[in-house]
Amino acid sequence: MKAAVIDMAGVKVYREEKLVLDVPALQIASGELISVIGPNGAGKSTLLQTINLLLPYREGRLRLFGENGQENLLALRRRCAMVFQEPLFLNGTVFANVALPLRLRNLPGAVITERIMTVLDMFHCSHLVNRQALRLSGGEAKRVCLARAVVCEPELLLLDEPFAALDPATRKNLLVELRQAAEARAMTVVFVSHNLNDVLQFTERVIVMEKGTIVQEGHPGKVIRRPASRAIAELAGMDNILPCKLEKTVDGNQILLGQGRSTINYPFEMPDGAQHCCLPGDIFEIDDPDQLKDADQVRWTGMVRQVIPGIGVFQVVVEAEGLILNLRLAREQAAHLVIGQVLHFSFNPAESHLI
Amino acid sequence: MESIWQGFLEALRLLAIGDPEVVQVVLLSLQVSGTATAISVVIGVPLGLWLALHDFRGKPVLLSFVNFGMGLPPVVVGLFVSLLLWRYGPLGMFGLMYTPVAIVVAQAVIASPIIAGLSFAAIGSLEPKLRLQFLSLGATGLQTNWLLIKEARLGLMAAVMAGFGGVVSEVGASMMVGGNIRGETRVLTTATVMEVGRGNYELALALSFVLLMVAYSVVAVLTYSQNSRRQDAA
Amino acid sequence: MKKQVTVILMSIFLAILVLAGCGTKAPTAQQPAQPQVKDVILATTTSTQDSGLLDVLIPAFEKKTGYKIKTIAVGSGQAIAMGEKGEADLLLTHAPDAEKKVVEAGAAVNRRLVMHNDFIIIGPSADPAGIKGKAAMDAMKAIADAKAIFISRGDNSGTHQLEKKLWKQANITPAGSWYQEVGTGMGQALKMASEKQGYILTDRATYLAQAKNLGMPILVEGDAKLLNIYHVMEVNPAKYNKVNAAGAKAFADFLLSAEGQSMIASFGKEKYGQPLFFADGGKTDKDFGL
Repeated sequence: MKAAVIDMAGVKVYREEKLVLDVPALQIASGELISVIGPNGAGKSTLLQTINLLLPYREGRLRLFGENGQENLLALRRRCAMVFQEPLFLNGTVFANVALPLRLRNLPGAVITERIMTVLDMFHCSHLVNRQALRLSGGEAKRVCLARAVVCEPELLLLDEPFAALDPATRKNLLVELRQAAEARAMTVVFVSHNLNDVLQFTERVIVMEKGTIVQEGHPGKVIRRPASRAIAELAGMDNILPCKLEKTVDGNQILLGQGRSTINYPFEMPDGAQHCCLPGDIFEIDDPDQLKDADQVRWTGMVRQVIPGIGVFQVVVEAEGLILNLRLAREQAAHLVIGQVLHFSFNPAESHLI
Repeated sequence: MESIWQGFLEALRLLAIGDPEVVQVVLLSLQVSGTATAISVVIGVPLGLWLALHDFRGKPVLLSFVNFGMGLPPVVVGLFVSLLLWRYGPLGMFGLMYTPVAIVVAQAVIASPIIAGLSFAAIGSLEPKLRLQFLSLGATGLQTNWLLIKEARLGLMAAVMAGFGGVVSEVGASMMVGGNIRGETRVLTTATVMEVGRGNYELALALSFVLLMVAYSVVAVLTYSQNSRRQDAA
Repeated sequence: MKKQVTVILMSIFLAILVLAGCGTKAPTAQQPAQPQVKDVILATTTSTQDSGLLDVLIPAFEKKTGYKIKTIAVGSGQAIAMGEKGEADLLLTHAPDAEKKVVEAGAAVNRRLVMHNDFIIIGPSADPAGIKGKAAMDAMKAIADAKAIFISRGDNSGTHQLEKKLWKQANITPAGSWYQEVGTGMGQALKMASEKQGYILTDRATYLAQAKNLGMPILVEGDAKLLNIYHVMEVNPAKYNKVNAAGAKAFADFLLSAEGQSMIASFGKEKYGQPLFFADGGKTDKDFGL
């Protein structure tokens, strides 16, 4: 295991006497690319600002690069760089803005110019060097912001939703460039987003935050299929989030859906207080009614309402058991479906996820 | 009507020939009010910056005092400064009463809250995360403050102009603590009042004319700076 | 473009400030023997400043002695009050009753008669109260009877004190909308009287200096009650140790010297065809029957 760049334990941050961040434990290793997702107001920005030592914390311990986060704030901060949601430029040229962190460190002019041109080149914005920073378009501004953060060669790069309000193509390009830059310089990157697509493209480990604390941590694939809460499920683009009731009977546990009109036998342990049942759209299989299948499968019959084409996977909206369900089906299965057609389908109840 | 016209012509003549009395009064006014403004900048800008960047328990109270101070009646300031500076007052040993220094002191008391209040507004109107961004880019506390001041420079310039405009056109305090002494504490406003008393309306008009020009240049700078800020925002 | 204009305007503004800083290099001329404490605070009545007399006397004195006279021109009442608190070094006033009190109280010493002129009553040329040519008290009575507008200085100055004395002697307590206390200096009060077409008691010097702006004739003059006598007093250094006694005495002596007296006597002759003040060096109150 590599040395931890960030090591937090029991850190609590208050704003106007209100607890806004509560991190019992968090370790991020050197060179790791990690994402933080969560709904608005979950404390993601607060977490980043705390890591950047911009917000004072009252309790707990925060070590950056193995050093105490209560001392030598400036020196520790100068080993990091942060990109905020907003561009936050000085009134001046792109050159002046990107030069700022270097000038603050009193580097000689020749070094500054050389580094700026390199980093602007890396983010494909050398042509902007003499433009007024406050007049850049959204995409240009983000590139320049990234360049300004990377120019001082930070060991730790903190990104606070840097791509909000950009079009998908630009986001994708920037993510690729950023990944390359991070790998080339062996930077540790903490990437805050509320867009799961970005997260999937960028990192292999994700931290899920809600209400100021970390509610889930792991591989993005797990967060998609097993989100920790309804808010996360929505954020992760869960296809079916169904209100449900849980019942424990002598035969085993049951999930009641659609005001009790349909039930799922659930032979597993049930979490307390769960109110929603998540069914990822890709767990459903179309059945041949003539062929009997595994008895453990849940079998439903419904009517096709809508067929939304896609590359590889089609989305099929089906009304069944008093529920509206979103199914993800392979093209060869879905392409011939017509609206109004009756559909038999099944799924393994172990794939359902209660929150 | 004719006397206004004549006064106006005489005013122009006095200015054109550079009447030594008029020139002396004008220069003294600019010097005294300029010094007072400079002192107020040293007091007011850091105070405004500090108020804009810090949250603490008594802040609303302190802010209300600053806002109240922005409207301090000059004569009241004059009276209090007189009480302090009189020979037998607590600061009498410095012999400052009826000197330009006394006017500077009174005007600085008048202008400091104006500059502090408007600096607070100028810094406060910046994007609040700008400060965090500067710190995050590796700025020291001092560097951050300096960058914020530079970013708010138009608003701060407006604050300085408003402070200067306030004191250069103020008469009550200057009269009370300066005494309108010829060649020493006679400034534009007190000289104007005195010349009116003497019936020298031409001279009074000439002085008013200079005062108007100074006041106009203040307003012009304010207007242009606001315009260019609006353009930057667009 | 706008930005450039702003920058230019700001530069001009700064340039003015800088120039102002360089421009006011010690306007004082070379002086002879430097006295120990240069500044002398002279608290005086507005009429000595508004008439322009001090503008003649002070430069001559400063050039000769190296002292620097700081003139605080206020009403005689306030000037005497400054003396009573030791905030001035010498007083040049025209309020004999108040002056005597201050000397009796020990705050001022060496009260000496400097000069006199006279008070006059002026008013609209139509003279609605018909006071022209009357004695001072009769004129006041006539104004009160006619309820004609009367402008009072109302600032406890020497002129105001004399006015109050005249009302008292005439047994009148002036009140009503015709009696307007304005609380300003002589020059300003004259202007207000002219605008409101009211009667006013004024010293002759200030009146002559402003007559061209007023358009109001002299209606009452020459009454012995209207004598306007100026005294100089030095604030008592035995009582107030911070007083510049030497400087005060020097200026008082200068006023009474042959040179000072001849300047006073000739002041205004050229401009108004008659002197504004009569030099009285060496005389005492007794010479005026006081």
